[in-house]
Amino acid sequence: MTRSSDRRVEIRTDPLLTEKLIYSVGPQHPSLPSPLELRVQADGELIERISPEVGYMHRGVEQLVTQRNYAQAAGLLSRCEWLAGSNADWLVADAIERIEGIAVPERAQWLRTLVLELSRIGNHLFWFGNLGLEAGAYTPIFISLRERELVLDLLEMLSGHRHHHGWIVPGGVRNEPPADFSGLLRAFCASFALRLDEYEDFFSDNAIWINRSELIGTLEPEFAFEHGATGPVLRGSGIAHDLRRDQPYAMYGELDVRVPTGEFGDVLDRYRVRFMEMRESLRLIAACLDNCEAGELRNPDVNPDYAALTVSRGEVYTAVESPRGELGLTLVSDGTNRPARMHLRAPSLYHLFLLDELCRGYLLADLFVIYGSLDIMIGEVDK
Amino acid sequence: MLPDELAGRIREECGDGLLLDPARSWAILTDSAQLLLVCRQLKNLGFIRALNMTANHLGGQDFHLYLMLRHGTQHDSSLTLKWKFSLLDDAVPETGPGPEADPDAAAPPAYAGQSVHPSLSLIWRATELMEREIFEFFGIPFAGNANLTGLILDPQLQGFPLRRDFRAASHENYAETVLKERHDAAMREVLDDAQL
Repeated sequence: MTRSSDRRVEIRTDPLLTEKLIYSVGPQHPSLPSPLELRVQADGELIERISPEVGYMHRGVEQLVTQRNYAQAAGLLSRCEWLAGSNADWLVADAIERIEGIAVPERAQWLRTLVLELSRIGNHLFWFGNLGLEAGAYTPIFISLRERELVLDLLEMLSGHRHHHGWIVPGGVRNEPPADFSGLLRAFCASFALRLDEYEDFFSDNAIWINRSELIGTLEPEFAFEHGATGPVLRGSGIAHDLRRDQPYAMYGELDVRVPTGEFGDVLDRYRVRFMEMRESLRLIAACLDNCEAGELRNPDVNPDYAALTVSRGEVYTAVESPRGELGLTLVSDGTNRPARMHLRAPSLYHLFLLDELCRGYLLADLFVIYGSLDIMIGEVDK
Repeated sequence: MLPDELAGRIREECGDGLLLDPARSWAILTDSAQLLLVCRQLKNLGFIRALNMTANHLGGQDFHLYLMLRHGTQHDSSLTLKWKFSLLDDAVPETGPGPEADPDAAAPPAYAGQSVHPSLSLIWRATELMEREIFEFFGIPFAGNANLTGLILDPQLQGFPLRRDFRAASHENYAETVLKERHDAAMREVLDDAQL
């Protein structure tokens, strides 16, 4: 397939324009899963400008964590990124390990990698369902949540929690996976690969979906670079950057991570990149399962009481390739069991403020398809 | 970890004012007045992506600022730049300095008075949002940022929540005044409706 030109319409500047309309979309809106206000200036049906108003869900997490111990801080940060909370657990654990010079056993690293990839699939499934709704298709949300339930069941089996797992801790992972976990996960991977084929058949190649997403919301790679885009949004614009391959952490260095990219930076490319990422995650999970059968779960020299863990003076920046892009953590520790400063770099913040550029010149009907293609998590924006 | 060749070029271009630790991908700028110059040099060396910028309040008028950069072509190379900034009591303006402000022009007098931080947004566009966040939570004004307005916090909130003295000075005040006023107004509305 070739796509020759953008479908963006040039905004009129002639003096016979009608009065501009400003729509306030949100903060409560059926197409917005989390509270957010979009002030949309339109000329008829054509979007001229969008100004996101955030903060409706601000909980003061960065202030609260300075009054909590590290275990509680990890729990609070995972509530900023609730669809894939293990990423926040990993960030806090990795930051502490870097400052203290803690080595993590190889088996624990394989298990961490496995959980991060399983979380990625769970997140992308939720995104897929929501994107379908944004585009006016009701089927994806039902089938994607059906598969996501299985992912949550597996994560619950592992950690005891469906969302905020807290399974990744400094020095390793919290507990031994149940005996039947590995078999069930393999069965899930086998069936989910077939499900992905099914999704592709009924949605990815659907003419209505392609018409709604092709050459809509195009993002130039240079613009994406300049404005802090990361993850599938950046890769959709053709830039093959993925922390798992370029600055490998956990056991990604041992895995040959393939980085799918788009060509035109439109909604369809961002959609396809995420779909290919789910397939890649299945491959990585299979590799992790082959390597995580035996070995230590945790460095025995690390205090097993996470709440009582003190961290020496230090400062570090660490980042993880979360399902939405680079989720980063700046940690400043002062030798106590509470962080002196923690700052979360939220990829969704930068992607949200791309909306103005992405939507300008498109129709109002395109707004939520473009918004859905960015996979914004308001929890990590508002913090 | 920074490759040796790149680390050597950074040392060569940025001089002794930048203490570089290639193993940690970390650099400390000892002379904050050189900030804009060093930032431009780093961008010329290929660090074209600013991924993150944040601050830490040290107490009083002193802050540490952290800027995390990534190389545009050598994706495995990143660098966190750290520097110190001091602020005077009366330095915080009511609003941003306006779109016409030029960081090159503003930087020398601002540093001479140690009051307004030069914006990095003309070097890296992405830092505009990061500076807004720092302005809102720490009260550090950035000269040259075209859109230095609040981003997340309630506009009625007094004070800067990530300063170390925030709770003692402002938090109780916020609960007792702003929230109580809102609660009382909402209650009055409910009672008025009930009477009707």
